[in-house]
Amino acid sequence: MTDPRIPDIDPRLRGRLDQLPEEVQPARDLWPEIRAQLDADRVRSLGAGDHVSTRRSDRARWLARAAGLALIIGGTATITTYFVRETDPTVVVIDTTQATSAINSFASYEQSAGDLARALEQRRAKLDPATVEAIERSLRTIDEALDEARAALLRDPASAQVRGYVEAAYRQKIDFLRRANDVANLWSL
Amino acid sequence: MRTLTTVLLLSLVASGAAAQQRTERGWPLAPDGALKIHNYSGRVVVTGWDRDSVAVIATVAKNMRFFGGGGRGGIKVGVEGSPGVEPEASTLELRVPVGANVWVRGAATDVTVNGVIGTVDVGTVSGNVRVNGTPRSLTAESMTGTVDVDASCETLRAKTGSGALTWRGSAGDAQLVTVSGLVRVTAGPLERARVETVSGTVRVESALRADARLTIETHGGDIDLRFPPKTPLHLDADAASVTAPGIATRMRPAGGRFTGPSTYDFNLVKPQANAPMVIVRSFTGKLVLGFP
Amino acid sequence: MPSALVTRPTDAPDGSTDLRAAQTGDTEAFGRIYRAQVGRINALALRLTGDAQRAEELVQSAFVRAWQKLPTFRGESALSTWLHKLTVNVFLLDDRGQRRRSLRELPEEAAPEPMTASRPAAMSHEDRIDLERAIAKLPEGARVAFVLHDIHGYDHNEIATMCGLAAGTIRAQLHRARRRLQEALEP
Repeated sequence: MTDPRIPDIDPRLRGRLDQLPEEVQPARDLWPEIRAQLDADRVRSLGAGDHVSTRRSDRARWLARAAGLALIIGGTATITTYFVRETDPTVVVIDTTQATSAINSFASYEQSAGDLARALEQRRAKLDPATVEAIERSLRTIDEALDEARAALLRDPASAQVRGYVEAAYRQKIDFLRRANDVANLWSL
Repeated sequence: MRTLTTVLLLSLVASGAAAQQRTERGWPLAPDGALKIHNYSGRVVVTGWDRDSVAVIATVAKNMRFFGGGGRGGIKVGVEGSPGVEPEASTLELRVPVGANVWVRGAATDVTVNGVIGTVDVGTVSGNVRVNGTPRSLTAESMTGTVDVDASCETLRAKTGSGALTWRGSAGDAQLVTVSGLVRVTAGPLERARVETVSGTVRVESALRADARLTIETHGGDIDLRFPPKTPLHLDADAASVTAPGIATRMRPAGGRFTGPSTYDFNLVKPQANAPMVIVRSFTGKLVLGFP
Repeated sequence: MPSALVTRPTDAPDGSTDLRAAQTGDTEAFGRIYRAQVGRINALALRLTGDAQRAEELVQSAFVRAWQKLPTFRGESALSTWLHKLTVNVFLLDDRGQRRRSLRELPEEAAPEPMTASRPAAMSHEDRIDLERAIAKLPEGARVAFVLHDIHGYDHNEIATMCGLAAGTIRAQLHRARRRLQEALEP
């Protein structure tokens, strides 16, 4: 609806605006990080639809923390990408083949955690709210640790040390989800 | 007036008694028989005795029902409510053969087990767990409550989520796990022990056997280790910082790459001598080691 | 092992097939949707945020949000329109308290004099860069109002509703943006 109190834009400015490109491709490929976040959210979620983990507010920080790396899942070509911040002129060159392998080696952990999380989700409505909240709280703690460790692995995929921390976080997550499922099986209201 | 007061008092006592029902039951049980206990909410107290039988005193809320039965090889007891009805707190006090194998499950239930030398397996959701004695093997878990173990056993598995986990005693093989709960170990001498936590603090004040192996893994939790003076020790550590006698605090560079763990020897008569091994891995936690 | 995402210029992407597949959880299909839409969404993000780093974060947040909300998309509008609106909402919802304050920050000003109409000459690449930079330098409230109204055609009442502000505030922000841009771009 046109408001007569808003004058028409100056035609010269209008003309210049009309020539602005409709599309501007990002300086680097953002899909790998988006994809990683989709995969992580799928594993992590205890709720369907809107009721996902309460980490949305952390998502931007997580993505920034993941150091803006291009990670093409399953890619075979070595691609060099640069992560440059205006305030910090550090340039990091990443061999994404190695990073890909490092992350993919935890696929079975992801699968196990995902299966357990889905099983727990099916029983969610039958658990008392206090128990659900307690489980979610602990899972948030574990997920934050897992995010940190995975981000470190993306930065340093060759580090056996860091792999150990990622593995430890996955073990904790799977163990905790198993315990939560046992509780849910036994004490569904 | 006095008569009226008396009548009122009597009616109050009567209504209180009607809200909780007390039941006493007993069954024979073999010395190493199995006992399974369910109580959703309230308390469970299990104590070993020198008889081949189980004796139960159940104080059960009005809308709950006590059940029990079985044979000499195994007994099952518990409290159950009606579907759709909010469970109310009930108490089960049991005397069991000392050698019995005891299994307890609760939700909002505190569980205490004393003086049982068979296997003990306790799980609760929000309640607290206490185990005292010398069970052959012990599994104790609470999702949000605390676990307090004062026991010596062959194998120990103790887990919490956010609750504190405390262990006094000894074990041939111990595994202690929390998510964010504090872990406090004053057991010993330690033989094989593994402590895992994501963000909980770990405190160990114990002696170590000559062939001990203690492994501690945290993501963000700090670690504080205190061993008796002059305890010989190999330390293999990767943490945000390592502070120990005779070495300047070693810091991992901020934002830097993770390098391999560092190894240290303490109180060894000669290099590479056999000594207890302590392995510490912490992504962002700090390690402090002392021999006070 | 999942295959790498590669743009195949000879294969015309079947948008409806990819959409249906993505709605049932096919991340590869969503990836193709991403490739088809990211240019427009990134342009919007750059102009809304005025900052390349924040634009990247917004694009990522928007596509993750789109993935979560995709099952609710019923095709009442084009997918690109839906994504566009979703991106704007993600931007506005980000730290809503702060954003509302910055959007509101502006005194009411008088309407400008109407300018004489004339056809502009074709813009050089440098001119486009200048314009993008000038937009990026606008105060946030003015920039958001300008980008949504004058570049993307949102009605000012709609912008007011989305921002949780009065229509008058949006009008004032718009006026301010236009005036500043004209001053910046006049020789």
